[in-house]
Amino acid sequence: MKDFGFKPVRPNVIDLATVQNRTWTDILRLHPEMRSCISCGACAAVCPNNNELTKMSVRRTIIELRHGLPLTSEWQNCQMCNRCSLVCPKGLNTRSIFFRLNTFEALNDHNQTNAEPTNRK
Amino acid sequence: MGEEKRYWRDYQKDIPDGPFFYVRSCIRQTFTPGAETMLLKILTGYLGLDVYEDPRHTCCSGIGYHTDVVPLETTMTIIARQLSLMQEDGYENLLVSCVTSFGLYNEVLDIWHHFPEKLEQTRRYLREATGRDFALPKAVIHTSDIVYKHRSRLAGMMKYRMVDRQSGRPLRMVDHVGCHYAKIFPAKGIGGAEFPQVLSGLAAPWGGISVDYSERRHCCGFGFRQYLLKDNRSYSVSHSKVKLESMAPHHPDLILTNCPGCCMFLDRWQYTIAEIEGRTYDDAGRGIPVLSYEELAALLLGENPWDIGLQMHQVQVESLMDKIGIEYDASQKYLGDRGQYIGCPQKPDVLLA
Amino acid sequence: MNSNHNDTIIIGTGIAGLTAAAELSARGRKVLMLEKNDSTGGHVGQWSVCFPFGISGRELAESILPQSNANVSIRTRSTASAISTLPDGSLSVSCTDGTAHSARTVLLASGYGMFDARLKEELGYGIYPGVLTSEDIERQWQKGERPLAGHSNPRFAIVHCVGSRDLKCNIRHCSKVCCMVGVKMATEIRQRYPDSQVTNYYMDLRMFDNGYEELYHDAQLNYNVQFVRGRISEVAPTNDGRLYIRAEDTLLGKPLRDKVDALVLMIGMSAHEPLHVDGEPMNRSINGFVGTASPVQINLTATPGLFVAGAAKGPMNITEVLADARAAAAETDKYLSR
Repeated sequence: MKDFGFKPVRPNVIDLATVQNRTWTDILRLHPEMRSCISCGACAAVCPNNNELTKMSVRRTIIELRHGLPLTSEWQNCQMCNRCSLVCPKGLNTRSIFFRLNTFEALNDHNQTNAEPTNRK
Repeated sequence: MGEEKRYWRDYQKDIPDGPFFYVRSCIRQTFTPGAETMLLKILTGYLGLDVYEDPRHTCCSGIGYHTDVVPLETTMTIIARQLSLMQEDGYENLLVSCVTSFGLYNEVLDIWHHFPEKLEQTRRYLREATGRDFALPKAVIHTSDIVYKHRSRLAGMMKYRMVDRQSGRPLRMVDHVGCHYAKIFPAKGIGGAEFPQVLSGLAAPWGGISVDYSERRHCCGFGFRQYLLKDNRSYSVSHSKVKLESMAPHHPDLILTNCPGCCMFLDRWQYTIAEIEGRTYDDAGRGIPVLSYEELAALLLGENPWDIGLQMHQVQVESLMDKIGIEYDASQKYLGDRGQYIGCPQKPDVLLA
Repeated sequence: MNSNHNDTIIIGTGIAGLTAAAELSARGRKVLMLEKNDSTGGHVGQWSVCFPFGISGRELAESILPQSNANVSIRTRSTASAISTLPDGSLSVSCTDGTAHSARTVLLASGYGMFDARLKEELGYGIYPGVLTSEDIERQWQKGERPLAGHSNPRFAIVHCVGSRDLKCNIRHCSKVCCMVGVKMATEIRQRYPDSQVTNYYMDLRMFDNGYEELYHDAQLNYNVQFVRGRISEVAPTNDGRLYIRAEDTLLGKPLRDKVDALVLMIGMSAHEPLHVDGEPMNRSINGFVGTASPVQINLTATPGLFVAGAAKGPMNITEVLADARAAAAETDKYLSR
């Protein structure tokens, strides 16, 4: 093993062919209507935490859950205020997802690789 | 890889039989100088083409241009000077042996076509700097085009075929066509950008099988600025890794390239990945041999592998030569043209299983 | 020149031509229909299921014009090549087989051509057997064929906007119906292959007409169709004979890969080469389809007596074509009554 001062990085891609979206499956069992999210971002726009005070994004979290990706948004900052659900044009109970996400994530050990790959050593 | 399909047929270009004004590849003559010699031997000797090389010609400045250290106007003037030499020597067909140069010559000609004022500006610059004038070439041809065109003729002269001598199994080849061969101007490359035939079309007449793989169109990772700066080399090696991982499940016997840069990086980075991650992409842990089309042609034609310069490769090609049954003298590997010892690289801990 | 007593000649027997013929014959007009193919029904006649009607295109086409109609005669394998105005003001249609037919009016209902998907080389149509067009799938289903039979858990990717809104192919227009067709096809696939996975790759979804948005919602909710905003821009073979696709999930800004068994391209509508009228190519509108006389005269061309209906004017869905063809028939009837 040699140190060249650089090393290959893991490609930062969504691989739908191998995705394991267990948390999303759990969510759909409770809230099948979550499938109808169209990523309009209304939830994120009214969220008091959304990219303003913290790096939380409701919209992003939902897409990441759907693709079975590590959650890059600071979803733990949800304050359960329910504004996201109030404005959702599809009438989705987004708050419920965040309410249960801790449990689901712990069960599925989903977030264990919650790190963006880096090109630098 | 369907030769019967329509689209690669649409991308056939007229390849003249010469006479050609030849320009070299900086990378090839630096890293695998034997390959350049062999290429000229195939073109002029085996194929009997009129290929002229003017010793006054220079680097095309492609690497400098693509790394943003040479301004476009300078590049255009350098290229104008090559064309000026060509005109002076009485040639009209430009034969380019490097894919970077090939892309750049075509790009500059295209710029001049669409922006005639740039052509006039270049004429002025060249006249002011050298007192020279130049004419536009009738054709710009890559050397792999010539080998492709004469693939069957060469096959007839070959001493060996791309076949496992023991089992009679045709060798499996994956190709990597340099990005600047056809991705900038698809119509300039045989088979176009999406389904290039220039290398894959060599396999069948030479006895082998060409294998399509998922990341066939992915860049090798050369990427100019990606390898020049050490801080960026991670990108370069990562791209090569994407390609190698996509090739590996097909168990290829060799990787064939038409770009000196791709050949170099797909070869060298196999060593780097093996050192860093302990990963090799063949079953035996030796790596997948990477050859350029002219090296493969010369090998099959029966040229001495050490004259071709195969000792310059990182992934050792002996296993491939043994498969084909190519005769070689291992003791000559590190002997020069006059039989003198030229030195031997330090043995790595990897790829020599 | 054939002597005949037709009031109008309709070029094309797709749903526009058939609808206009039914309307005009109900008003007592004698109609000659020219069809370049062997059978009537046009593109829609080859669709296996038409949204929102739920019936096959063939059934739909047949329901428009009953088989035997004393006022309508149909010539198949007759390709109109040019139209000319006769001294008495009537029009003559010449066909490539050397025949010519005249009538006081002509209604152009020649529809559209399907985009040649081979032009989008990166999608590998005509190279990889798993790459199909929307038209291929509809035809196979119409014939009762079952592509991918025997695959367990087949994965489908549906690509929207192939040959629409594509300046590289010199096509600026939106083909309008393919968003709906893509989503309809996704639900159709999920019904026919219950163990399948379907992902639609869209640039944006234009679910403009009645029932379309509901279809989209239904596809997500009840058929679990996945929607990814992004364009598939590379297709390559996998080592197990499937298709490897590359796109970007533009909502996440992340590259995305998948391995699928079939890639279905939603090919757009292309304008036919313009017919020559009195020696000149017909006027075209901004999208390259047949142009009309004025913003108000939406069925009349620049030539008196020459009318146009349906998707010959540009992309339309079935409902729009039916309405437009009826309007064209009414205009033609009015002209004939003068």
